[in-house]
Amino acid sequence: MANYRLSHLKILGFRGYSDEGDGVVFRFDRPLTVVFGRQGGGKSSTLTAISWCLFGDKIANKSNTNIQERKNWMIRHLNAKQVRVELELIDKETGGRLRITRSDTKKKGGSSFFFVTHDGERSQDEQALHELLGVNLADYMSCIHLHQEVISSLLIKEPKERKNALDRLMGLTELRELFDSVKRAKVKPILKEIDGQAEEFERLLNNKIESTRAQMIDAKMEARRRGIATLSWDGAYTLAKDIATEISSHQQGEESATLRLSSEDEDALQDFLEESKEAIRTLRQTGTGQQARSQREELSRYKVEITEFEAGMQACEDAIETLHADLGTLEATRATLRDIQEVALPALQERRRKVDLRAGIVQETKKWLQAHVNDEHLSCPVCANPTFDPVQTLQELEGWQGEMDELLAPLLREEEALQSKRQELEKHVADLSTFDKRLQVLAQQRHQALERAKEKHPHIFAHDDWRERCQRIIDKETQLAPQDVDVWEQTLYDLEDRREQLAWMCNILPLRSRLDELLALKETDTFKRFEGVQQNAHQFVERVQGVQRAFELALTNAAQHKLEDTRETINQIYRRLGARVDFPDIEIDPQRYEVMAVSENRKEVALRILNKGDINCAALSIFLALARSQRLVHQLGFVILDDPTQCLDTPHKLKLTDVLSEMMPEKQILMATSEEDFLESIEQNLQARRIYTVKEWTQSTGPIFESRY
Amino acid sequence: MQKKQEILDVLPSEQQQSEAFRELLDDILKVFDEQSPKAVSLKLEETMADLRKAQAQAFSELLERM
Repeated sequence: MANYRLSHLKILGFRGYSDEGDGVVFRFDRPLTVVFGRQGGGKSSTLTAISWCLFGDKIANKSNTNIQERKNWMIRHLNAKQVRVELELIDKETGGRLRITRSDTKKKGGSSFFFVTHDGERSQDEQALHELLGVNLADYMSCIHLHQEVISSLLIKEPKERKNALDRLMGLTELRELFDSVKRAKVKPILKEIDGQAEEFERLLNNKIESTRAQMIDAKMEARRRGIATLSWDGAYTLAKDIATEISSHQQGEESATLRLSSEDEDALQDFLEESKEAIRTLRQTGTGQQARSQREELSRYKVEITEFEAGMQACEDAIETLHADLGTLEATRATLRDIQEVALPALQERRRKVDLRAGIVQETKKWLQAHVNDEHLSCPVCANPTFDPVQTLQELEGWQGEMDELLAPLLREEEALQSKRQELEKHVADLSTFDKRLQVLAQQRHQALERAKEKHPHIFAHDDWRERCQRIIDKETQLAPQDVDVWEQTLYDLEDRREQLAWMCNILPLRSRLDELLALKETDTFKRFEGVQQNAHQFVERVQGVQRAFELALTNAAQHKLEDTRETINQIYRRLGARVDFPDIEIDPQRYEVMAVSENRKEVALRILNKGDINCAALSIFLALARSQRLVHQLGFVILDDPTQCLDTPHKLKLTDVLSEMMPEKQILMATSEEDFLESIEQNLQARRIYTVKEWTQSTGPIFESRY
Repeated sequence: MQKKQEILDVLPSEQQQSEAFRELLDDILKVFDEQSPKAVSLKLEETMADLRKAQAQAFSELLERM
């Protein structure tokens, strides 16, 4: 194991140090090196320069160091362009040297780090250096470089920080990290989820079983109400087969015997239910009875409709025929009427007009002669004949008038007859037209009705002898007795009723199967897998907890062993430093990880009993004892004590000098102090030392040291 | 090995002899050495998460059968 000790330190531009010149060089050629000077003279900066060289800017971070004053801590001197620290360590056993250099400049990216091993190998890998030295910053701050605040964290900080500090002191960090890594794993919340889901399953299953059971009870009651005596799948299959047989017996042609239960299972029954429903519906439509009745009614309806149209047509045709028989056809009648209207009647009327005219003349002449018959010298009014005899002429006119009347009378009779004939013919023509139009309408209606019937029953109405065909069917169906139809209807109702029973059984029986399945669910492989996962999870968490307990136990044991190893040393140092009568000893409780003040028959938490000076003595005792422990695993053979005598009076400082004197053969000591009595004590009692005294400090020059042995 | 033995030494013999326990301890130490403490936590959580996933799958299948 290497045992690196401090050899040389060169500081340039670090905190209070100037960057001008070659820098300040310290030589650590004695077991003890003391940096002495007033407060603010650069003592602590000298010690911290070593930390910065080893760990870089992390030491300026409060959370890394647990040192309050490190908040916003500056590394580089205010006026310096660069900061550079060179540290040389020497292996006490082999004499091998390890040179470490760290620097930084104002410019961004100007930082540099490297180390050179004794065999000349150069590396920039900081992690490699820390592995080589077996130390990280936390360990370094706890067991190499004793800062007052680190001491205080051992005694008065939060329990977690005390534990961490003690772990670091005792080299138990790895075990602690192992323990924490297992403890941190959130396995229990997941186990809780797993248990929660298992409970959820139990709840769901029980609810399902209860609800299915309730449905079963309701279903059984309904089954009894429907007259289903026994409930079984075999009974359902038998019923299905019976229904199939009966339906098939009523089916005809291609449909016959197609309905059957394909297999004895639930799915086949469901299919059968659908198929049987359709089969019964078809049977109702096409089977005997209702179908016959429907067909007969439909055929009759068509027949009556067409027959009515035809009857109307026949009536029209008969009327027309009668009219034809009486007066001839419409065309002949129209010709006769036209002859009367246009020829006979006008000619007759002309003849009568002429006779009327002559009769009028005779009448008028007669009236004139009668008025003038007694006139003298009356001559003929027409020819002026003086021999004209008015009386004779009147007689002659009387005779002519008689002839006119005889001529006119037959003419009037003939005209009256023609007028009568004309009226009769006009009425005849009107009647014929009306019947003709009516006939056409009826013929159209008949045609349409026949087309409809043909479409519905082509095998009947597409034939010329549709009347006979129609009648034959009607006659045949009419022969069916009404009670046969009723029996058929009852048959269909019975079939539907039995099918309903089957459907109900198909609803109930799965419930029983469902209940059986639910009750057997916990026997399935899936549930066993489900349950197995939960068991595995519990076993795994138990193992994890077991491992966690093992780590904790190992941690406690290791701590206990180390504390037992160092207990005597701690107490030796503490008895020499503290010298309290009431609580002469201190110890660390490995269970509680607390520093305890111990008397012969009492143990108390040190913080409750000891004063500040005693606490510092206790902290120094623990630190120095553990620093000397052979169990520490780092490779550094020196300790750095920064102002270790705070709150100690002169006798205590003298006692500390003795303790350090004992320690010097094992550990190289670098110490800073501002207390003259302590320095005096050292100078008087410790010969193997070098003392650097700060003679002067200005901002431009930084600290100027005077060195002496 | 020394670390493992140091831990096993503090355990009751029943746990020392448990194959599953030793296997888990080996896994934890291996992940710790090769990776990080955080990786150990994650590994343990992953194992539980896998079990949770397997349980959820079985639960889903059971629900289907219900």
